[in-house]
Amino acid sequence: MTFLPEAFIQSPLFGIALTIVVYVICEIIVDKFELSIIPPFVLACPMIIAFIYFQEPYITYEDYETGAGFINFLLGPATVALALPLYNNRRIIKENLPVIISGILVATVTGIVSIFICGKMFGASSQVLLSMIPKSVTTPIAMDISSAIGGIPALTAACVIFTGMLGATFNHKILEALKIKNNIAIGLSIGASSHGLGTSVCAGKNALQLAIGGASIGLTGIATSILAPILLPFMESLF
Amino acid sequence: MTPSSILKGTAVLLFLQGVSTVVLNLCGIKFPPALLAMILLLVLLLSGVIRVRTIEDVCDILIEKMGMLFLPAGVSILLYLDVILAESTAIVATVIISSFMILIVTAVFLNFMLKSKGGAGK
Repeated sequence: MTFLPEAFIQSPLFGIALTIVVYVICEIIVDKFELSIIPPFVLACPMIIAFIYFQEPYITYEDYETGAGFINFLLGPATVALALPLYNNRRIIKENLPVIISGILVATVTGIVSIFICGKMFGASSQVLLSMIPKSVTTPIAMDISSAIGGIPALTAACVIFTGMLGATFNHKILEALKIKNNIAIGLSIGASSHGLGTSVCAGKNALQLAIGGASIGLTGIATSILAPILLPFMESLF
Repeated sequence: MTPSSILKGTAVLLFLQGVSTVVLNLCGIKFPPALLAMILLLVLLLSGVIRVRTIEDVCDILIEKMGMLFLPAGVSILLYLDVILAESTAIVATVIISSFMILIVTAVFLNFMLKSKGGAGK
């Protein structure tokens, strides 16, 4: 049984309110317990899922979607907004353009090829495999790419977050072990492998890393959305 | 940050997204419309057609609270729980291996490139 009246659950108010309220609560939790390594999203997402899951069939995903769709729509404008950090970092990007572009290409191709081969090796179904392809790209772009190439956008979002958490925790340790000290190399490889979540860790390390990482997020998004549809049929024919 | 600067910025973002959607649809190209709009906005900012001031406030809000915006998408995992559980090993292994491959290959490549170029990024 649920304690909420049906009129509330079936109005868009429910999905919108649940999303915002839970997110704000998680922001407060993260702030209070100084869990800055965990983005509020990571806490909020399972909370909302559990909230709906344990009250089925009184509350269904469709009820939530009625309102949550409005918030989901804002991902579009948020992607467009990513032009601003690219613009703000234009000087650094311009100075190192050839290196940055070749780095982004190496990262994107490595990503698509390694995901494809690993996925095949571990026996992922083709829908799951396609959903994982854009996992290193920032969420709104990744979900767009996923639906364009035939994946499941929701699963892509989950893989993107998992990738980001992994990156935020281990990236700097790995690069340290490899004795890589160049800030352009560090920022770009982190932005290209673990998007905004990974890059946010650079904020406490070095300004150049952060700027390059920010540029790398947008550029990897562009490169993946162009290269994935081109490389995939080629990979399919090889395996 | 003023209410009208937020509104103006939102209008610009939505307009660009609309134009991109229409253009891609008419040309029949499979490309994320929001991404084309992002490229358009970058070009318009660089060429000075749109001033940073116009869009800055709304962009800052959207980027800072982007985590909340992808909650509905994250929650829709509910619909695919059985697919994810059935293939969880493949998903976890692939994500871990490929993430670190991208990181290491790119960093080593760039480190080599920049070393031969000398000096940059120190």
